[in-house]
Amino acid sequence: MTSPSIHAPAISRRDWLRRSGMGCGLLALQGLRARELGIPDFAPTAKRVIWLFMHGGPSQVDTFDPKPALAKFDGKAPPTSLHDLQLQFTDVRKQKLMASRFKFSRCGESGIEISDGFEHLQNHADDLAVIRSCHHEVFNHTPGIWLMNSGHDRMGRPSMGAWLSYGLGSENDNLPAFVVMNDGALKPGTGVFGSGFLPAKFQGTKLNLQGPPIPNLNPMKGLAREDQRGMLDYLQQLNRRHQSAGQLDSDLEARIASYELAYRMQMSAPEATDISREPKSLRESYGGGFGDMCLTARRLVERGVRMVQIYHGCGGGGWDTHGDNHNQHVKLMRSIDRGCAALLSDLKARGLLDETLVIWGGEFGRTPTTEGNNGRDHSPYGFSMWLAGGGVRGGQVIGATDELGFRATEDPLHAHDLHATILKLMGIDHESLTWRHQGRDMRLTDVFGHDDIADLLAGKL
Amino acid sequence: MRRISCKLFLVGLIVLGGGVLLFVALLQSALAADYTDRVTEDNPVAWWRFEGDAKDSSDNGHDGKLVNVITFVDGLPSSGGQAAHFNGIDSLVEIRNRDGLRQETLSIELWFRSTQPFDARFWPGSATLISTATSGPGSQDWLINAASQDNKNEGRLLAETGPKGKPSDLYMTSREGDPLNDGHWHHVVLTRHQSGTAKLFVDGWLHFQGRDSGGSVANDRAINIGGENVHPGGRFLDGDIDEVAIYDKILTRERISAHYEAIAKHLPPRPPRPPRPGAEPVALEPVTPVDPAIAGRTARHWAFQPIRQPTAPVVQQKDWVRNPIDAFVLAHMERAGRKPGAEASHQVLVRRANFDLLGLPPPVEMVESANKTEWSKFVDQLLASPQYGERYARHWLDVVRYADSAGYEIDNFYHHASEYRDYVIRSLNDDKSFDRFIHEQLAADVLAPDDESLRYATGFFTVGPYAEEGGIKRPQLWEYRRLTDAADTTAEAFLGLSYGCARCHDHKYEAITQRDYFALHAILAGTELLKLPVPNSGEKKTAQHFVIANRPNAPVTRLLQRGNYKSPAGAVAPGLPAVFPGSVDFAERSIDDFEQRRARLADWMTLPENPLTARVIANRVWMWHFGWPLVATPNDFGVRSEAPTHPELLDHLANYLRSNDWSLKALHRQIMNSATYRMAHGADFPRRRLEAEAIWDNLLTTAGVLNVKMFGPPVYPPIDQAVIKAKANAKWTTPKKRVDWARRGIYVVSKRSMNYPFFETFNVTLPVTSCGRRDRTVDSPQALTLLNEPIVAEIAAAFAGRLLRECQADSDAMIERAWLLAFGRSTSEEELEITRDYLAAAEARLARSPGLGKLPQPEGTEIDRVRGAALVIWCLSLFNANEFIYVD
Repeated sequence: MTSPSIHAPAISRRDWLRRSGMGCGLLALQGLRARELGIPDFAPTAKRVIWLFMHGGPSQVDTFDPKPALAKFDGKAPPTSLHDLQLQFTDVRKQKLMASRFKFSRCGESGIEISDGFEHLQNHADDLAVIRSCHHEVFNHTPGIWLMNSGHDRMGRPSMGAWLSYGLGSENDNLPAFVVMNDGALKPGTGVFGSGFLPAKFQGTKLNLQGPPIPNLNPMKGLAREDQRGMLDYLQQLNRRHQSAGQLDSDLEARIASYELAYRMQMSAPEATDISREPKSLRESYGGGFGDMCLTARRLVERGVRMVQIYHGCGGGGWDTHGDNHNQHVKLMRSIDRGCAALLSDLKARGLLDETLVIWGGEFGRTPTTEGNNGRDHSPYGFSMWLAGGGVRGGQVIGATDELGFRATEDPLHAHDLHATILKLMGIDHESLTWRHQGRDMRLTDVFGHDDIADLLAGKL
Repeated sequence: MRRISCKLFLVGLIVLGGGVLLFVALLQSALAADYTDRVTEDNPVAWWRFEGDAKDSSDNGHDGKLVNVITFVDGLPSSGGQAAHFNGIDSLVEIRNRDGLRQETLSIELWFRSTQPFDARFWPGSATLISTATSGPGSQDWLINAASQDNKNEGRLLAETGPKGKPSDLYMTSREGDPLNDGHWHHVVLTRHQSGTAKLFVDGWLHFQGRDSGGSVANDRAINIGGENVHPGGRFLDGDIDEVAIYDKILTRERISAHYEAIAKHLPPRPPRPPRPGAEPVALEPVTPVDPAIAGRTARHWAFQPIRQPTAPVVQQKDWVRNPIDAFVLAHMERAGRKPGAEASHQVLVRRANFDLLGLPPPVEMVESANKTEWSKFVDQLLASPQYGERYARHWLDVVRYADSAGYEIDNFYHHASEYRDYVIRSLNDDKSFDRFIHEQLAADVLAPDDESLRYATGFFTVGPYAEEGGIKRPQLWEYRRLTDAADTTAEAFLGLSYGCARCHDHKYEAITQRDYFALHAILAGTELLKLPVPNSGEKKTAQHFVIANRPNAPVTRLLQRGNYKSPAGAVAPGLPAVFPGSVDFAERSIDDFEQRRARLADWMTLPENPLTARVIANRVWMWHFGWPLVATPNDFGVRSEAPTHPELLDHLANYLRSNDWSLKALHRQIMNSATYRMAHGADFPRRRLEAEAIWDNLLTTAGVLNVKMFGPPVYPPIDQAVIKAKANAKWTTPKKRVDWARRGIYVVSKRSMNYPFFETFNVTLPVTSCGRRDRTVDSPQALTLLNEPIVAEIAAAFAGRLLRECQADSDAMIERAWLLAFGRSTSEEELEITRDYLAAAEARLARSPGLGKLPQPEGTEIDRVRGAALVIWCLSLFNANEFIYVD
């Protein structure tokens, strides 16, 4: 963008930073990274993130947080101490406690207890750091998904992926820095992986699972590559003439370059997402479906994509098991089990796991009670997630919920703390990654967030 | 009441015996005359006073017939006479003569008292107060009944208007929590305009506002009072009715209050009910003492100083100066030792001015005759175009965070949003003074309640994000969020103040305290969203139709600690930051009459001594013309904002606007007639990339397929199915014919949960908060969109077809015309050469391409397939050229 000198004095440094942030192409072209603009830093233990997002909210007491006491009080009313919890559809007082019908086994050398519904993932117990004390206060899907993604339960803020692309850039200029896959419609819409008030270039790029992986990646039907090249050459001829008629203009330069990048992306993106190039045995180990998305994610991080987010359980009810919780969870857990396990094995086999942080979890957990129909209601007050790779020490359990699995009681980790922690593992101080908007220096963690758990995760404590 | 009895008692002590009686009688008749006068002043077309009969006191001959047993009892305390008592079994008054009583615009007034259970939800079953005999939807009728919302004895009223032949009637109810079957007299007025607007007033307060489908509500059936005997199922009132009147016009709120007050001051008090919000004594939040040093700094902040009237500076290069703007700009340059740039060519200026004022490329004839019209006349011509309103409305819609839907999971469609958008377009085209524009957006419902054209002006408040998600019932939280949105947008849009920062706590170096922030909430807290029935709409199922209105009482606004709605502290009175002149006066005037608070806020914003409003809009207008504001943060003129690059120029513009009756078009003229505006792009004039909507409009116009139809519901252009599949509850129905979606970008639907991807790629963000300035990034997804998006290819094929038709397929003529259409200038010999070569090479390649059969062909003309495909691809390349989406 030209600085009009009728507006001299020259633009301020802050404005320059703002504008360089805006002129996407500028950063990429000049090899600048937002990091080099002076963002304070920790030594990162992770360079890339794969976030397996369980859309709908998986039940902690059926997956990673066994509660024997529930079996004892099965069918009883919850104690009065829990009556003040606000749930979406039901009143805690009117519910009955419901034991999990899953068996849990102690797995690996660490002996972490994992539900038998995850028979393959159980083999990776020593890679997982299970956090049983995640919590927040938003008990409905859409605001919950916004909160987990953007640190704010309403729309409009940048997603974590967008913050990471802004803060760290991409390691591959032919691919977007932040890629999203989903197996159906997201309740809040695509804004949850958007860039909010950050420039649009940082938003998540949705990868289509069928057809061209990225919107508008395919040239018009029938247009051969050489035809397109010929057209681009002509176009750039016009652009250069236009450019030379005026004064040197970095925006126009950037636009010329953006066409060359787009041209290359047409080739590199289909290649990066083409899992048919992988050996058959490996593809089979991922188990198809969700596994295919995991395998695609591995190919992407391998090529330098900063963050891949996979939404599982979109479209239909997904993990939102208001009825028949057990049987629904059996199916859901089976549909992701092999994918999760194969992803961890594959990343490890390629030496990528050390630098790739894998995150598993939903927008919240579920009640240890039943609301009828053997279903469980939403509960954001204490739920489980796990992290693996990216410098996280596996084979540990962090935090705990109460005896019944309702509320986080030990080392509670709020959604904001989770964000602060992930940023720290990526080498970013969550208080210093900011963007000025509406007169405030906005950040992923708003005015909240503690990252002290990061050292624990990394095994430094 | 007590006061009156005391007086009467004292009078009784002084004047003895029969004198007392005489005096009381005189007093009563004086009071009765008071009410009688007020009704008479409004000239009713029918008036039943029930003084022992059912005669029409308006002398229009609509005498009623008493059916079954009606007795006459003491009437309203001051009307001096009697009221009709209905037995609740079979008694009613029937008025058969409808001559002169078939109004489409009318007001119906009555008083009633009853202790009967009001426990039926809808007619039949609810007891009739007055009715024109119902018989299902669309039966041309109206009624006021005693009813309930959900079959409990809630003591509410149900009013209905059912226009002729329309599928659904409008149902209005009185407010919840205010049972009217308490044995006390209540005043009820229903007003209905032929356009369909209807309002229900109870005891002087607006209880409901809605809109039926419009048209006639007058049938030939008898009017029934107190019961209904026309159709089975009608119930009868057990209670009294008095002073029923019908008017052939809308009674204004002021008149309705006047009628009510004439009686109400003599009514005994109603039994105790929950205290009216606002009436309870509350402790006010104390004023936090301000650190004098910071207060001093704040008071000295440039944007809080009065707007000066700077005189144009003396400059050396006097002959360059066309108007004062140039003097300010040139003085600045000369101080930096520079000279102004050369003047741009006529063709460049014509293209620049067209995109600037209309957001559209110039027509070819205008390019060709560029230097023939005098510049100032040319500017006037553009400003007179209706497309000016569409262009500048788009800018304004960014500022007011406009969208066609509420956002969140359900993303309810806003039926009212496009009405507001159209109001903005019309206002700008009419060159409505910006002063009035502010008043209307903030308070049209109060300032001009009966002006239909302003009905949606307050859409300013109703087009924001609004979550009404399933299962969550936290009305306090929703209300807090609604007020936060309203307050933040008001402050940013008009005052350039980011109040929102003060929501959680005071900021040491800011002028706005947390108390100031909630004082702004308090100004707006007297409002509420009224949900109206949604007329037929494509998205009916999840559509909402909101207008804003004053509540019956202003609630108490409390300061919320840390901005958390669960942590209320002391009460906060409506007010403005003390740092601004007139703020104390504002608070005093606005507290008593809470209904006028928004109007007073608008008054204060447009006071001559208000330092912000005029500067803020002048800065925006400058930015919209030049792409670069004088104050870098158009939505933030606060203490931490950067000073303007040209403070005197900013004040000159602000002054100019105010002294020209706040005419934006006058300001446009002043700017565009300056030498500054006419400089060639380069060092002194920024080259600008078009905004998303302008790129869209440019594509459609260049190809000759833009449908210039104005106004109406938003349109849904074709969209990638993957985008729809990625959003639950997505609704996006593209019309079959292109002409129905190929409208200007401002009419393309703006859904909060799902931006139109083409626009999003070119930096349209989710409209969540006011956007003062859009980003303009350059990135490869934009390149992919213009290269590969199927719509762009389709428009390129239309462009190729247009060129073939208009140039009789002559190649050089097509190239020359394409340049005029797409770039607004003539082709150079060299460009002609390059293009001829490219087309020849492309044709040679395509001749042997296996994909030829699949490539698009020019629309509407049959030519050789190889040449056809080459032309379409070439047109596509022109759409991708920098020159197409940049304006010099």
